[in-house]
Amino acid sequence: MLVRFGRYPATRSVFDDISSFERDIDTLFGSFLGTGREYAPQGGPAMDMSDHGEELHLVAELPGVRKEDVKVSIHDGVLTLSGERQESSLPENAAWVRNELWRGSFSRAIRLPYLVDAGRVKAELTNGILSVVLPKAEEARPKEIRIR
Amino acid sequence: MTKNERSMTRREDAVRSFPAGRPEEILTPSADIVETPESFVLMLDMPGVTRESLTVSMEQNVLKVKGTVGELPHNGGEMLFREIRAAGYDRTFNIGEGVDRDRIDAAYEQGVLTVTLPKREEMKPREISIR
Repeated sequence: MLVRFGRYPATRSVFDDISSFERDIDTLFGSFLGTGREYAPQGGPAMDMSDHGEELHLVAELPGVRKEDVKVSIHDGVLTLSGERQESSLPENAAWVRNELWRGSFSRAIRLPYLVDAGRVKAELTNGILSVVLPKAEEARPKEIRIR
Repeated sequence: MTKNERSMTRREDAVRSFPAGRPEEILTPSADIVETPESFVLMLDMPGVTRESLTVSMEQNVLKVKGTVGELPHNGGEMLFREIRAAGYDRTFNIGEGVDRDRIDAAYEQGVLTVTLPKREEMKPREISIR
């Protein structure tokens, strides 16, 4: 599965990926089940969401994406995560040996299970992981009702 | 059924279908490899990996890259949905004789590990001048 093009043909087969067979299987099943890690651009990045009572936590995988290239917006109970993964700045005279990383623009919208206070939402991008903390709106917070 | 009740039911279904706890899978990270006259450069997507757990090692002609994903901020929460599968990453590459093992460099930024493998002097392209 070695694809090579460009100006510098290998003097020998330098990269032979030991796990490429395993990986192909993984990719194949991944696409069947729709849970493949190599998200298609139209599928958007993989996300987790958890409920912490007063707030929701959203986590998304965004490797290789710069902070300034990510946009999180909330409108009408729908959170939209969009942005772009830029082409990596390759050294001069570089030729591709293998190209598996996904690049380009992405967009994903999810309906939030609760109303959130959009003014107090905080987002942070560290090591390719985006964390968004969404405080629930006052009327969506758990409330204990005192029994008279 | 009011709108509120419906959304509650849906939410409970979602909770039931997603396992609690941390992800457990060790995945093969996707990689880009480019070649320049001087070196090979590997780029691997390993989002969320902690620096302490990240290892790049060479044994014989095998390059091994490994890392563990750090805690995601779901602690104490109830999972509504879960798609992130990686607890860690692991991948091995067979590398020919042409790499200078003492000058391998690795950097981790924005969840991407970049490994630069300089070619040995005798493997670099050379122009032969004609007498």
